Amino acid sequence: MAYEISLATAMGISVLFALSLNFITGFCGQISLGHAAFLGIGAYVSGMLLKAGWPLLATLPFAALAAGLVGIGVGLTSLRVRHDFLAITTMGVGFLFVGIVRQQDALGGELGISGIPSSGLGKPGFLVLVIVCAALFALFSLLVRRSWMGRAFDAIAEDEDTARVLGIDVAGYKLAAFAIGTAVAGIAGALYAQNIRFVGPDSFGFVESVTVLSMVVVGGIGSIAGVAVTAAVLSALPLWFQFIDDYKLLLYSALLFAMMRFCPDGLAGLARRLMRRTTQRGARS
Amino acid sequence: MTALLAIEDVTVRFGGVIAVDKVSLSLKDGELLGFIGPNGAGKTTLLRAIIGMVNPQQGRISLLGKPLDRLPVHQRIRAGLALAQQIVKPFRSMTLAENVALALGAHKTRSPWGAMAHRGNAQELQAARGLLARVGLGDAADRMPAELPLGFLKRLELARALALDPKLLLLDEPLAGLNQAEAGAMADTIADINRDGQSIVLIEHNLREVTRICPRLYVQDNGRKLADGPTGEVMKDRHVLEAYLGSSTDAEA
Repeated sequence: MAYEISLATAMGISVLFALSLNFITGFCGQISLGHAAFLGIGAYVSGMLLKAGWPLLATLPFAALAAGLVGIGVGLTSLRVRHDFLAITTMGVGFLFVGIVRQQDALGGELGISGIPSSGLGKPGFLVLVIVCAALFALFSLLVRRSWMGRAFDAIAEDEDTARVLGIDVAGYKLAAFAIGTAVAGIAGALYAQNIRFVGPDSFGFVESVTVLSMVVVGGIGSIAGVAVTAAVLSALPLWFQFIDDYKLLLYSALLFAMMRFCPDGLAGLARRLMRRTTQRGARS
Repeated sequence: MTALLAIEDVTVRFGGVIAVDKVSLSLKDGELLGFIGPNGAGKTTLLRAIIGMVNPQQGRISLLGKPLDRLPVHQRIRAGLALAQQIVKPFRSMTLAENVALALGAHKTRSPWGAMAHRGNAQELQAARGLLARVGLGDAADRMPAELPLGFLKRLELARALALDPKLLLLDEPLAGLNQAEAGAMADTIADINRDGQSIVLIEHNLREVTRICPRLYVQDNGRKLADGPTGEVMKDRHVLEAYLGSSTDAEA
């Protein structure tokens, strides 16, 4: 049972992390290749505070705040650069984060922070906390999707110049998306740090950023259910099969490539098309 | 009385090229102004300067006495401008009604945080059908843009701009690419909308329709104002005829 609980916890954290990127990339259409940096910021902030004796729940707002503030900074660059240039810029932010953290003795340098104290919730209790966080954010995403914020995001994701001509404050919406998405990534990071009781610079590198992006793309950019299910499955695979862990980057990159090439609207889009085909066939017969 | 739109001494340069050269133009409430000129006359550039997509090196632009200079595009829209673009730009992931409803809900999308608090759009979708019917697209409200020909999308541009309830509607070649019958019907729609009190600046190449529906013409060539006045007089102006038909020496040659 203990194994299932820790597996489910890891899956829940991945779902929360993937949904946070979905808010930026899926909803607002802004690509990020450095999202793991915000997971890292949350993890380090929470890890340090936990070691200083704070209770886990009290560290969550600070993890969110720290990641969100840096996220707004990256969001500001998204106002100046678009598309592939934004991809390169965010990738740079990811490398910058790892580079800076490695050099900080206060953050444990290469060795990271180990011996993070337990939350005291127990493993089942912690799993419940993770599930509650992921479920709340999934619900929040769903509400946003169906609100006027979601409609404005759709317009910006498709054609931001035309969105402006309709009076939409594109800059404001992009910053809001980055602020929310990165703050939630910070919370996912705090949960991550608590889950493995250790944070090190290597846990938040480029591979993690590509992994979470492939979860969003494979799930279906913008689809909450698609992204959540894909994140759960893709995060469990390397834990189930050791050989997948060895070839993680290869597998995720191949998935990313295959989806972009053959099925750009992801599994959610594939499911929609299959459903339409079966109902049409049903109607014909 | 302050002018609805006041353009004073506006100059736009792209590198060494002067696209708009010290142009002044003023528009009263309720007018339908035909804005014509040969290709490369700087018509679209002046329009983009009004809407805020390009920044003039010189001059002032104001709407109802409120200066627009330095305001970003979306704030000029919120100040009362709307633009129907020459190259149609529908949101292809939305139906026609959803496209128009997004513009109708402009007061709900003013700020991202406020937009989060507004949920339903049934009211806007309903009103969108009315607007689509007004431009002759009543039957296509639930269709996707990709399924429809250019004539429909040109009308969608018009409906979506109208949905912003602008003080001044800017139309950039709404008749371009339409056949004669379609262009005539579209021009009639524009004249109808103006008759209901909507102020309009109409950039157009289709002289036949422009002279038919616009009481006032403004002509620009090589970035300069060539003529501005009642349509009948402007069309007799020697400079205008030369710009359009070539100079008299050209005609003799």
